[in-house]
Parts: sequence; C-alpha cells; structure tokens
Amino acid sequence: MAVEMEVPTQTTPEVGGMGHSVKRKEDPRFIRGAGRYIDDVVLPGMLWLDIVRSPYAHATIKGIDASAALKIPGVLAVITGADLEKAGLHWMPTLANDKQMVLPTDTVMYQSQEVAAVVATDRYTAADGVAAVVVDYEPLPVIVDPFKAMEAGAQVLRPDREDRPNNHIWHWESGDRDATDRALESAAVRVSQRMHIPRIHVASIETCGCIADWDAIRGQMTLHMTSQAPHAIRTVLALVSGLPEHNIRVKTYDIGGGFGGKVPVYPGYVLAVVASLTVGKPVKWIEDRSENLQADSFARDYHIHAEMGATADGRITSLKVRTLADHGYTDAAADPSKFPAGLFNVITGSYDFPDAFVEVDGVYTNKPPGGVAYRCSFRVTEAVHAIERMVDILAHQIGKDPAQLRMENFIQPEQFPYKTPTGWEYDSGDYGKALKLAMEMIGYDDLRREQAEKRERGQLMGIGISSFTEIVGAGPSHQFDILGLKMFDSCEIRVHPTGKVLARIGVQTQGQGHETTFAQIIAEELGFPVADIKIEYGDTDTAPYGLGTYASRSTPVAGAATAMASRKIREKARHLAAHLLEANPDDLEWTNGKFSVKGSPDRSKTIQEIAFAAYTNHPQGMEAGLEAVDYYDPPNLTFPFGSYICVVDIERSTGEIKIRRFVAVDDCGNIINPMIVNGQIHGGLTMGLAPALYEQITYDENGNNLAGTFMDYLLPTAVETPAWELGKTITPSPHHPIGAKGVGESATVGAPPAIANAVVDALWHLGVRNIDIPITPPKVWAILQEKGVAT
Amino acid sequence: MQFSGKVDIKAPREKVFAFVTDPQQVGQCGPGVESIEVIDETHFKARAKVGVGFIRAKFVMDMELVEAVAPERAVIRARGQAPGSAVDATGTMTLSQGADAGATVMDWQADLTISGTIASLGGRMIEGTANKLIGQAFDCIRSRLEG
Amino acid sequence: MDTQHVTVTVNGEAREADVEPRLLLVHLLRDVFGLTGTHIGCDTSNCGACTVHIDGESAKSCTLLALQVDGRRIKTIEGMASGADLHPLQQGFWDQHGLQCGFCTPGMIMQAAWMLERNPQPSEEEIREGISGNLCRCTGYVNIVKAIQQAAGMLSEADTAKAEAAAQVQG
Ligand code: FES
Ligand code: FES
Repeated sequence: MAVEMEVPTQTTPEVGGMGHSVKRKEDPRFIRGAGRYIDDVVLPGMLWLDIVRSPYAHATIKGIDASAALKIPGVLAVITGADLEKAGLHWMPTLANDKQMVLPTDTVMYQSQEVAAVVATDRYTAADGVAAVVVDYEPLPVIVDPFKAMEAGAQVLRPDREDRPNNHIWHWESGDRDATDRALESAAVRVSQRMHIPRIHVASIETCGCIADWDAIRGQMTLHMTSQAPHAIRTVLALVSGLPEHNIRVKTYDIGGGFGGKVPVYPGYVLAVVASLTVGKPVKWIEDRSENLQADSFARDYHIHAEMGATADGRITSLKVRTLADHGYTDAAADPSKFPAGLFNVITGSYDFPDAFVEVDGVYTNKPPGGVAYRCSFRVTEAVHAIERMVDILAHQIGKDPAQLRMENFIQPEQFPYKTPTGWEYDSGDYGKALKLAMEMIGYDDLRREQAEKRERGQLMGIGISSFTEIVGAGPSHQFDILGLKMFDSCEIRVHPTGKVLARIGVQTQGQGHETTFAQIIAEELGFPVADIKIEYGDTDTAPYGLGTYASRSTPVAGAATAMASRKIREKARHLAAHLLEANPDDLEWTNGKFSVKGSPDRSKTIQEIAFAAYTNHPQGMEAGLEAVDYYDPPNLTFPFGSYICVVDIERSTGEIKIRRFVAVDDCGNIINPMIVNGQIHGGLTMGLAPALYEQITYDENGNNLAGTFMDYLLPTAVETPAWELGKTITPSPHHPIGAKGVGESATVGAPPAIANAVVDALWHLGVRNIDIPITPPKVWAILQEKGVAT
Repeated sequence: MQFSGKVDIKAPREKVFAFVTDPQQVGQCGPGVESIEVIDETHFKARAKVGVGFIRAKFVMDMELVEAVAPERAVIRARGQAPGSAVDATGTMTLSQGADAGATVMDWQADLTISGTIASLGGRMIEGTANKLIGQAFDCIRSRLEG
Repeated sequence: MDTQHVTVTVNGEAREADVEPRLLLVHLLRDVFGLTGTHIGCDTSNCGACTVHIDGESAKSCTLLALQVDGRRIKTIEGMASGADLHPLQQGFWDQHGLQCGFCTPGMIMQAAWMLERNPQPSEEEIREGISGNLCRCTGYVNIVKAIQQAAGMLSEADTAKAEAAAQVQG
C-alpha cells in the first residue's frame, strides 16, 4: 500500500505550479509515435557509417586491407587510424583528461574496439563494407583482472602514459588515515568485508548515434546527436577539431533514455564528423545493440575492501575503505576533474561518526573505458552499497536489529548542516523519520516475528534495509568542473506580449519530463499557466550554455536557474505594474500571478497585463521587453535521502529470490510534480533491482565481453519487477531557491543494498556474510548446497 | 579452451602421419571446410563456415604445419578470421603403435582461443560446440583412413 | 543487389516498394515508408520496441523480412488514434504517466492492444506476463500496468455502451 502524501501547492490546478501532478506536455507526441529520435532523422543526401571492430582484446594491427570493401558498389570510403593520424585526430581527450583512440594506428586495447569506419550509401551496404575489410592482427597477452594489472612485472598497457607506470592511473584519498587507524585499533568491535560492484551497462532502449552534417560552403558543422550534454560536446569538438565554436551546432532530439551513457564522446561520433568533413555530405552513425553493449556506456567495477569500527553496543566510530577501480584501457570516467573517484567519499552515509578514510586506485585493463554513470551521481552507488552493507554486517555481528542500529547512528535533524569526516556539508535531513515511515508502511515488527517463525520451520525469509544519503546537483563551480568547464547551469526566459512564455534551459531531458516540470517552476514563480509555457533545450545555437543533465543535476542546478530567472522577470514586472498602477513598487504585493497595491486588492495588474505593457506601454527609461537569463552556480550540493525496506523469500529448491515487498520512502526536498517524482522513483528502483539481481558485464580470460546481447545482459521485465510501494517525507534544501533536491537517481543508488541486505539477512544464520551483486540463483543455489539446506 | 582425446585408427602410423601432414587430406576434415588452397609445403589456407547458436560465420584460416616428426608427431597452427571474430588454434597429434599390428593410437590436444563476436554472442554455447566440432574432425580423420 | 516487389496495407493504406530481399520489415516501415514510430532497441527480438500488428497478430518487426509480409495487413502506432481521438491505450499511458523517454511506448501500446483483444479484463499478473517481451528502462512498469488497466476499463465501458445501444435499437 502506498502512502499518498499531500504535497503543498500555492497555485491553482489550472496554473499548475509546484506540487501539482500536471500531465506531461511532451506525451502527446510520444503516444502517437510522433516522437523524433536521432534514427528518425533523415537529411537529404545522407550517407551511412558503420564500424569495423576488433575481435581481439589486445593485439597489434599489422595491416588493414580495404580494397575488397571499396569494390562494393555504394561503399564510398574506408577510414583508418592512419588516415586520422594525418589530421591529428586519431586520439581524443576523455572527460577525465586521459586520451582515447578514435581509431588505433597500431594496437587495439579491447574486444570490439573501433578499427576502421566504412561510409556507404545505406545501412546495409555499409555493413557489407565492414564485413569486407580485412585486418591483420597479431594477438598480445590480455589483462582482464585489475589485481593482475597491478602486479609487479605485469605488461604495461599504456606505454604512452609514462607518468602512469604499472597500469596505475591515479591514487586518490580522502579523510584522515592516521586518526581512522587509531580509532579502528581501539574499537571494541571491528568488522571487515570485501565486495565487488561489477561492471554494468546503462542499456537505454535507444542506443547512441548521430548525424554529422558538414556544410563546406557555409563552413558550418551541425552535429545532430543523442547527447545529455550538448554544449560540452560543442566545446570539446571545437577544441579537438579546430573548427570555430560559433560554426558548430550540436542539436539533440528526443532521447530514448540516457542514464549517463550519453554523456561522453565516443569514437563513432568523431568518425561521423570526420566522414562528413571528408565526403561533404551528412553522415549517420547508429550503434546496434551488441555494439552498444560491447563498446560504450559502462559503469561501476569497484573492488572494495571496507573495515568498520564500533563500540560494543554498536555506535559506529570509524570506517576505512580501500578500493581498486577498473577503468578499462583509458580513464574516460565522467567525473568532475578534482574527483577522479567521483563523490565516492560520501561513503560515511547517513551516520554520525568522527573518523573515516577512503582511498581509491584507478587501474588500466584490456576492457573498453568504463566509469560513466548508471543513473547515479559520480560513484555514489558504490559508496552507498558499501556503507549500507557494512552497517548491516555490524548489526548482525553484534546481534542488534539493523533498523535499531541505524536509528542509533543516524545524524540527527538538529546536526544539519552536518560536516562529514570526508569533508562534505550535508544540507538537511531527517533520516529517522524516513526509516520510521518505511517501517510502519511495511509492518516491520510483524515481519521480524514472521521471519523468526519461518526460520524455525527452515524457511528462508530476509528483510533488508537501506537508509541512504545521496549527493547530487554538481555543483559549486569552485569545486566542480569537467575538463575545466564549471558546472553551473542556465535558463533564459522570454515572455511574449500576449502573455505566453518561451524558456530555454541548458540541461537536456532524456525522459525526465523537463518540458513539464520546468514550466511548473515558471508557473509557480510567475503565475503563467503551464499550458502557456514552452520549454526548449538541446540546440546549442539557441539554448543558453549549460553542462547538461546527469548526476541528478537538472532540478538542483537548472531548476534553480529557472526560478532565479523567473524572479528577475518578476522584479521587472513589479516596476511595470507600479507604472501601470501609478504606485510605488515597494507598495505592491505579489499574489496569485498578479501585483496589487497593499491594502487595496482590487487595484491590481495580472502578469499577462504586465507582459503586454512591457511591449506596449513601458515607462520612459526602462528597457522594453520582459526577458531574463540566469546562470546559477549552486552554493552547495543537495543531499536527497531515503529509507528502503525489502522483503525476500528464497526458494530452497532453486536458489531463486522472490521480492515479496519493497517499500521506498524518499525525501527529495520540495516536490515539483508528484506524479513525475513517483515515476522517477519507480524507474530508479527498477534500475537498482537490475544490478542487484540480474545485470553484469562479464569478460572471459581473453577479454571477450560475454554479455553482448539482451539474451545475456538481462534487463528486468515487468514480470521480475515488483509492484513498488512508495512513501515520502519532505525536508527542503535550505540553500536551494525552491527547496528541491533532485530525485532521478536516488532509487538506483539506494535499492541494491536493500535487496542484498535482505538476501544476506535470510542466510546470515547459516554463516553467510556477503554475496556480491548480482545475486543470481546459481550463486544462491551454490551457497544453499554448501550449507546443506538446499532441497 | 583446451580439449584432448584419443582415437584408435586401424591404419599404420606412416599412413596416418602422411594423412595428417597433407593439407589437402587433413583439410577435408576441418570443421565446415569448403575449400583448401595450398601455399607451400607447410602453409595452406582453408575457408570454412561455422555456426555457433544463432550465429553463422565464414572463416578464412591460415594454417601452418609447424612441427612434423615422422611418423610420431605433428603440430598444426591455425589462425583465422571472420567479420568481427577470430580463432587461434594449435592442434598437436602424437601417434603411437596400436595394440594390433597396423593400428595407430592418436593422442590429440587442441588449444583454442576464440575472440570477438562469436565468443561474445555465442557465449555459453561455445565450449560445447567447439568440443563437438573438434571431436567430429578427428572422427573424420579416422573414418577416412580406415575407409 | 536485386530487388523484389512487396505490396502491403499499412494502417489501412495500400503501400508498395521494391526492396532487397534481406530488408527487414522494421526498416521497410521506418526507412522506406517513413513511419518512424516503430523503434529499434535490439538485434535479437528481446526488447519489443519494434512491435507491430500483422493481420491482427502482434509481431516483432525486427525479426521479419519485408518480403515475408507481402500481401498482409500491418498496423503500427501511427494507426492507433482516429484523428484527434486517442486510442484508450494512448489515453491511459498519458493519464497514468506510463512513459518517460517514450522509446518503448509504441511497442508497449501495440503489444498491450493485442493482449487486450485476446483478454479484455486481464489481472495485474496477466498484464505483466503479457508485456514481458517488451523492455522499458525508464518507468519500472508500475504505471504501464496502470495505463493498461485504465484502457481495459475504458474499452469495456465502450463495449457495454455499444451493447446497450444495440439492445435499445432492437428493443
Ligand atoms: S528491436 Fe525488435 S525486439 Fe528489439
Ligand atoms: S519510457 Fe523509456 S524505455 Fe520505456
């Protein structure tokens, strides 16, 4: 049963400001099949690009013979690394300041790496061309295991990075090592655990793709693409290609899911650009699913060792975490530059304790670049998994109820703003309230009783909790940048004379419903009905500069910019109203979309009347028009949180895990659109379920990706996905103009440990302390057999 | 992947050795082989069509007889590619006198590395398929020698 | 490559084209006929983004050749609404927030329409089973289930109304 909570509203449903479940403005086109995604776009004279990929995970290229391909009618060009090298385009920078091959000139570094590109008149002919290109390889030894990569004498995978010997990319640490060591030594209870958060893939249902369109006469490059960050792409493209930035236009369309996978620049995009520059025609590149699952959009792959110290009765005192991060052959993680391991040091979670130390070492292996997000803000999921698993292990170890132990260790509401031992300042929270609500909704005490009875009878039932704290909304520009670009965001609003509004934002929707929610922010601030507000984004020629949508930053950053731009407009409207009402601006008050003279409410002007006056009757000395732009630089991040409880039953004859119930209480601060927030949470929970039980990209010892189709990479269907039950608490962000915190990723971050904790809870009495995700039936089955309880 | 086995062949060692070191002959027994092109005494090219699960691929294989110690030992190395896939294999055959006069025991070992699309998409079916195909190849050698 | 002629009825309209024998149905619809509402999400008939109806049966158009549907009747998402009137499933998906990025939506709607024709009052479990060949990465399916339930209700109300009207005419 879901608890429907009243979300406060200040506007009428017709206006549809914050708190209203306004139906989405974007949906009419989607439900009719009239959405426009990149592969739907056809330009006159458009050609197709397809990619020759390496069968080897590590090999020397001895030669490429394109002659047979070029003989196929319709094949126009074959581009190789040697061709790119002449233009200096064979390497490109990654978001993490490493470099990545566009096409190799001598060595391939992962299975399915791009080796050559074929340009042809249509997609079938391009594929024929790809099949006809002959590449002569000499295989080299392959390193798949990051621990082996770090061993003395291991083959150096990146001889070009002399500054990074031994396949070691970087070391990063946070917190106080000595104090943490001392606290651990003197702790009455110490628990430690290794865990692996494996490589997974975002697998949005639309793959990546683009059309590069070079207009030689105008000197204009238009890149139509699936991108979560079009402005950043434009700037990177300008820097790499030398084309002037004002002659580059990046344009996105409807995006069929992003989840982080559409933030980076992939070789295919650059190849399409080069191809278009070469042939002078638009060139389209669309990945197929197996290319997508083998070559890009990977996340995670952290090998974590955590150690926690506590008092005898379970007060946490300290946490020490060592991590090996497998980045593949280059560091292309989409992390802010000062944070090579992202925000992993938010690992102290929702708990109040003085000493923590975290260290992470990045490693090269023969895999494609990893480290883009999977619906999560910069490595937060890995951190939350570790802390929430450790808290459960501690509770079980000392025989205390995991809910109780959490309650006793939570940061208390009055401690906010709270400084963590690793340097973050949490804005606001009430963790006990969220957990309490989740426990009530699910009937926690009854479930514990049922579990005890079932255990007597030999049945396996488990209850798992996760009380996570997220960290989103990057971010304050003194701390956060990507490739030097500061992580502010933007909104530009134009009010037309007839009281209709066009607003453009620097972020990019991939299904989150920005056309609706950003209109709601403006409706809230200015009183225009949502129906009268059009939101645009994704065209760098028109939208204001912004860093894009990922890491749940749209609402915290661009949402704030939208509120601030609206307020600038309201301030101007106040002066216009004063002029119209012949009153002093300070004597006016703003209610329900109009300014009225204090004390005489019938002397008023609506925002629509004011808009008309801005173009027809503005006072002398005032600029005409009603427009504003805001570039918002947040003073801090926001810290959404929640408490999830999961109940599982384990089938002793198969090892199958059945999620009986899953209650999710989220607190994302003030809510713009409850319907959309719930939808985001449903989706996020399902992308938390996925890696917990099903999804993993595995490699064999030769570096072959063994999950190259949806037959082996298992997305949850409607059958495996439980009927999620949602609840809310609201703790506004004190520093955000509308008190919102962002919600798109919380559930993906919070759900996996709740599920893992539930499974381990069912098996702890048999001596099971941890099972690495994904917790598949064969893994559980093996444990049940080992423990002699399989039936 | 490594495979090994033993085949009893009712034919004298010299004859078996001559067979397995002759590209035209032994080539006929390779899995899915459609044509053989002899380059020189120790090198030849084979074209073969192989299927794993729902994937079917045409391989062009470069074969080399890397070791030939008459009449007891022969090693053949193969490297081949199909679009997006590659195979690297070494087959070692050790021939010894069988229990009966005029019979040979062939101990064989095959070391096989499969890369690319077939490994990735064929996934779990590869090992079984490879085992079956290799087994068939040695059965073929036997039946041709005996027949 | 040699081409062959196909003739099909798409959303009630006769269409024809000369195509390569290897052309997939989904590419015939999208690239040749310009009906881009049918999407492609995989290469292995796992995702259902390409679901259409062929002679009233739900089918994944990514695993059929254009030539295989010669002479048949095809319905795509573009044929679901009649003018300004949305199909009850389209209305249900909109009302219940059954979509986010919208990429899976056409396939989901086509699959659900076929399911409701065979089973007009499905239980939640039957709905989940019925759409299990269609992947959605955004919604977590909860609201898709609700959307289909709403449509099932609307369709049965419409049926009852029709039946009543017919009864009155007769009576
Ligand atoms: S595209 Fe047809 S099932 Fe995925
Ligand atoms: S709405 Fe995005 S895949 Fe379903």
